[in-house]
Amino acid sequence: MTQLPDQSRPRQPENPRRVIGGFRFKRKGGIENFPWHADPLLRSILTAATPETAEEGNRYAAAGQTATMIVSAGKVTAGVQGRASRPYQLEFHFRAWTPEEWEKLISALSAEAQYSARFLVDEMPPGVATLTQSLSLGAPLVPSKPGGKATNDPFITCACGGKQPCKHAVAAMHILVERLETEPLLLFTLRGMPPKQVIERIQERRTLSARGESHAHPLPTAASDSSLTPPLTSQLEDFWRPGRRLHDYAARPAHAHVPHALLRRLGASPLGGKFPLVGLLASIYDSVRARGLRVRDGDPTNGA
Amino acid sequence: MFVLHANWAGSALHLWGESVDAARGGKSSARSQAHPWSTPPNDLAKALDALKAGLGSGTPDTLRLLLPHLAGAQPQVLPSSKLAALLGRVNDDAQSLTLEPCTVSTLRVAAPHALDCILTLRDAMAASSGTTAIAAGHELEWWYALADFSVNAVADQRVVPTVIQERSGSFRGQWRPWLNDGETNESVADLTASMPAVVRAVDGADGQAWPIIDGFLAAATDSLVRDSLVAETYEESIEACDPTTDPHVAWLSGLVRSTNAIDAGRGGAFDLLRSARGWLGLLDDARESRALSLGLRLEEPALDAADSGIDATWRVHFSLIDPETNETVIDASALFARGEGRRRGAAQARDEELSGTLLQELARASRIWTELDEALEEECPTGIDLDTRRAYQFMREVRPVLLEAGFVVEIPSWWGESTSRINAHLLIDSPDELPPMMSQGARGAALGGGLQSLVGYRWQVTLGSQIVSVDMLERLAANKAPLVRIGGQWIDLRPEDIESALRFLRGHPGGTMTLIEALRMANGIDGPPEALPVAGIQATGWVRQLIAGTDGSESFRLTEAPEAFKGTLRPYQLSGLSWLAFLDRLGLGGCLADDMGLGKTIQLIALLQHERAVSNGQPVGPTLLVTPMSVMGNWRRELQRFSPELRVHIQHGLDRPAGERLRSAVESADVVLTTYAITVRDKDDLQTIPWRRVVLDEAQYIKNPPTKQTAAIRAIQSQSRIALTGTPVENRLAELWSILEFCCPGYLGSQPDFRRRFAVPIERNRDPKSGERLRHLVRPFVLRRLKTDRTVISDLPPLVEARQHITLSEEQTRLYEQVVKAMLQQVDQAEGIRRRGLILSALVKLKQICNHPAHFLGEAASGVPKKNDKGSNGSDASPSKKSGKRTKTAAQAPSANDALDAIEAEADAAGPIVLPPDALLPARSGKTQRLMEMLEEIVAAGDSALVFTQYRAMGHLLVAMIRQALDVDALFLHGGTPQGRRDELVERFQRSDGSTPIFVLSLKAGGVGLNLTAANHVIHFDRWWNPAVENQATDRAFRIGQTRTVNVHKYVCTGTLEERIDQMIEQKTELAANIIGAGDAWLTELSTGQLKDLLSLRRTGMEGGE
Repeated sequence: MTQLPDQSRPRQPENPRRVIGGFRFKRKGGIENFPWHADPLLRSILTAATPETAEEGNRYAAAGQTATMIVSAGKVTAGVQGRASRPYQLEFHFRAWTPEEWEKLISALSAEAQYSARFLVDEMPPGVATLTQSLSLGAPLVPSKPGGKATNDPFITCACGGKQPCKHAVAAMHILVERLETEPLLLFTLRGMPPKQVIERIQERRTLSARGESHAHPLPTAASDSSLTPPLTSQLEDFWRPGRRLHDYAARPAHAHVPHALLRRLGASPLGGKFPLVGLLASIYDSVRARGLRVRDGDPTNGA
Repeated sequence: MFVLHANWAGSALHLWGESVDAARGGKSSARSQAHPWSTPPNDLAKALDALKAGLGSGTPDTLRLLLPHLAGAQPQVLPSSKLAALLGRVNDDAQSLTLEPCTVSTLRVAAPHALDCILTLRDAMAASSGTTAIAAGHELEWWYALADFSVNAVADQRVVPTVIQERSGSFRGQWRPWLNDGETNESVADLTASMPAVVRAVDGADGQAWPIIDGFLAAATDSLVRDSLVAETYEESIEACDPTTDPHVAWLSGLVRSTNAIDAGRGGAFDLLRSARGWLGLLDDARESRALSLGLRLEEPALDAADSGIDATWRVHFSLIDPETNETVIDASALFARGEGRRRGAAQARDEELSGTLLQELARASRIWTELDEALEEECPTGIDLDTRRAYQFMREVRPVLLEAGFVVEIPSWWGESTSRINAHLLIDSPDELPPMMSQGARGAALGGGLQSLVGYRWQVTLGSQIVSVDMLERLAANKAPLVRIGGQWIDLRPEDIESALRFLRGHPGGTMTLIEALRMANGIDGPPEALPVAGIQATGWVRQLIAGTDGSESFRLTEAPEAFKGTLRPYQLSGLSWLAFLDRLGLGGCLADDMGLGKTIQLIALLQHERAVSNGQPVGPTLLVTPMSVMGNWRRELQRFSPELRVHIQHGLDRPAGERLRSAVESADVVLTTYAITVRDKDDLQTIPWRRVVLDEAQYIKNPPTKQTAAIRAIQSQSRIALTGTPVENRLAELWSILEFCCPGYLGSQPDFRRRFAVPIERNRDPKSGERLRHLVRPFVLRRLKTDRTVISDLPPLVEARQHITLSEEQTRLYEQVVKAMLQQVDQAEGIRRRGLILSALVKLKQICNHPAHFLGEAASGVPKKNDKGSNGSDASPSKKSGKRTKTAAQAPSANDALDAIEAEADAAGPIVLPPDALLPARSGKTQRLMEMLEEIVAAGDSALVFTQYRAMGHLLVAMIRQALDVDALFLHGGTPQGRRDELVERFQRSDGSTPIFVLSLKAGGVGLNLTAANHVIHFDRWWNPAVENQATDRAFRIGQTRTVNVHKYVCTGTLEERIDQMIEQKTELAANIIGAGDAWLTELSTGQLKDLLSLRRTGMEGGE
């Protein structure tokens, strides 16, 4: 029995509209045999959805209905083309780790060289999942509780308005998980920090433990010139007096004073703050010069 | 009493001390590795607080250091160099040293107070001038320099804010010096290389210098900056802002408050660290080697340009410059013009690369000079046009910053020249003829009359080479252009300068003032309070001559030495005499500060002769000549030799005249010779006599703060005063002030004033301008020629030999006479070998007495001093009681060399030798006192000296004495020095980096074979009666490879056998032939009468009495 199309409503095609150049799920093994860091995410959404939705989502994914996908810190935005004229916009909100949780994790990751070594070749060692567990972070490394409530991980919203997970979400998840398989470090982005920054912070952290501190200023070449200081044992006979170069130092004429020279060389601040930093630094430099000159002329330093 | 040391460890300053008494007592510690003389923290705190309240408020702590120890089963810690000097301790070279851990008790001063602690300590030590129980360890000088460095960094705005993440993960803000620019980096390298070993000898610090320098500098800079920001409540400016959302506020929260924590979330702080690193990294760009850098050349408007005023067009041209050679690779205009010609292939690719670099560099420069943004809006930027105001701003403000950032900036050459600015000139009119009052040199003229004489003056303001009037200045002020072209020349017209010039000309019509005022004003010291730069002084007549110093006293130059002067003056000496005579005629005093060996003595003697030659028969008043006791004999001899007709009265000795007798003795004398000590003792008499002149030899004896001696000398009435010194006074500012305060009272102002105006800027801030002003100011009154001056060097022969006639001290005199008396008695009753033994033994004793009483009394020979019988209390110093060992040794000495061996071996004490404090008093011997004076001048002048003695014991004594008196470690080579060590010593001396300017050698061990051309002074401290042996020793320095004049000083004690034998050898007497080459054996053949004649002390009236 055929039914005449209802002229009063836009025609709803049986099949979703075709998308040209959409993300197509074309994995050889289908949904089987995903590695440990990707598998739970797909499996959990397929379980949470009704079998029909799961089935349909899988079909959407294979058909390349996912038109757009943007992965950003803690969030994935996707557009999935259904039967409507425009793709449905949907979002996965992942539970991001707090700065304190990140700090704990980075500190733990920096303790072993293997982590940053692996990260540098885009691998996610399984130990990271164990580590996040043992540190009892607010969320596991691999999210596995998808749903439509704010407590879900990811918490899914979709413009289709249907019960979550909807077929669009299932389709988009296929694409995300396929990407995760080759880019495992994307998990860090889902938890709030891009992998590049994670690696940097681990390295920073490692330098910090090696040197005792890490700092923003570069060091002068004299700092690393070991030829300036002979071994102590070669100075036993002249152990207490300053070397002759102290006279060279004293004989150097004073640096000609150029007002605000360093500040002007620095130029505008690239830090992106709104507070007029450079302006305040200018008056700070004037204050400290006045103070420095007073001390130089013999005023006590603790005159504050 | 303790020696204070400082170390930086664990982010804190540690002060610790070595107690002198504990070290002298040889106290050793029961606990192993605890420093045996470490001062208890309580004592340390008490003494520091007594020095300056609050200085001792550190927390008691301990610190483990690695210190040099004497190697052995139980290594013994060595005293610091300062302590060793105080103890008079000499290490035996042969013993090897090791580095061992040792724990000292300290007072820990937390980082924020470290700078304050060092600065306060330095000022308090300087102010106490030795009255405190604290002696500064030698390394403190280095700490003072480091503290100054950080203060200068703050005062010169060469500090940057930074962000630091600590090991704990927390972030903080910090202020630290910016050290990466070329010059500063070099200074840091200097400070690192000169860091005393002990500073980095903290156990566990791996001998690293950088963490210590970095730690202290950061702590010092941060505390100084932070304190002032907290005091000025900068915190309020960020109070209302949220640090977690604004990285600027987050950073400032760690910079302007008394706490340094950065209030931002972890991630925020981390981002802050990274972006701050990127920003500060921009500063480092200047250092990065670039293949090409941007050149900016400012071109002034063409001479025929329609407008040469405020709207004139200046242009900055861009180019690319090779920073290695500073050569232009290509001008931007040429580069872009070439692009239009459609070049092909590789050439075009090359051009595209060049223009890419140019644009990149322009973008980099535009961060500093935002006007460049305008040029970057063009397609092909080749330059930028500026009006006069912007051109001025470019030269004055932008250029220095661009230069610092590594750009090449070229501007018209007139910029910065004083001729391109408004200047004031002081014009002084004085006649060619000297004022009559002065030229007479009459009695009764007041001291410094010349300086007080009135001179006419007026002021002139110049713009470039043009003299400008008030009218013209007013017109310029109305114009308000920062640069104007006058007569084809651009003038830098700072509005503030025009204002001050106007005020100045209106307020200073001219008139008369005293010469002292004029000279001080012309050098920008007193006078016009307005900020107008005083370019200098222009004068006519005699004032002009005065200002020009020796260079200008042409018309007053003497062409030959006075007739009655029995000697020849070298050309530079004649010019010195002219200068002295010229100042004298003006009633002015001066300081003749020629290098040692250039003949200050004979220039002064020539002056005395000269003034008598020109007095037209008028009587000339007497000159009072004050000298150290040690050179009195020399003066007497030189006076006699060069000006025998001058009548000399020697005011010395126990039987010297006083009161009326003294006055009449002075009446009939031309020169009265006396010592510093007698001047104090006889001050009441000396002050009532109207002297023609007072002359101080070795004028550095006039010390500051003023002593009783200085006061007594200053109170003596005279028409003029002359100071003689061989030390480089211009570098020793406290000394310079004291000496000029004597010669030209009031000229340099009060002491605190001088310190503020010159000493601090020159010594601490290394301000070249203040140095230059001071040189100009003192030039009329200080004449210093160096041996290396071109005008002098051509007059000097390669080898200058002179005898130093030394006067025995009272103690030496008494000992000498006792020994002679005892010997003559015994010799009369002895015969044969016993008689010879007695004579030889006495001879050795007499030579030792001439050297130093401690040498004779054996105080130097043993580790433990003998009974403290220094002879001032008389008779128990009887020589006959002294050991027979020396007698025997000497008696067995048949030949010269064997004798030397024997003498050398005489004091073969092993281990460190500790001398009693008295043994080290140079004043106990005329020779050692003179040696210390000479060595002080030699070291100060950057010269170096060999000191030869026959006796190892005397060598030890000298090394210890030099260490104590001059704070210099002398090298010492003697017969017991192992070969390897010898080579090392010679190598160290020859390195001539000035760190070891004095080399003491025993004649036997060091007289042959060595090459010691680094020395330009050779001192024969005691004599070996064989000119050949002495000459051989002299030839260590005077040989191929020697580029300077070598001065040989032979010490001879006046009135003693030394002088008698010296004369015999000089006169080549028959006896002399026997003496040479025969050791002392010939003496034993003399009859008792001959012996008496030869050995008895001939008194000259100068011995003792002090």
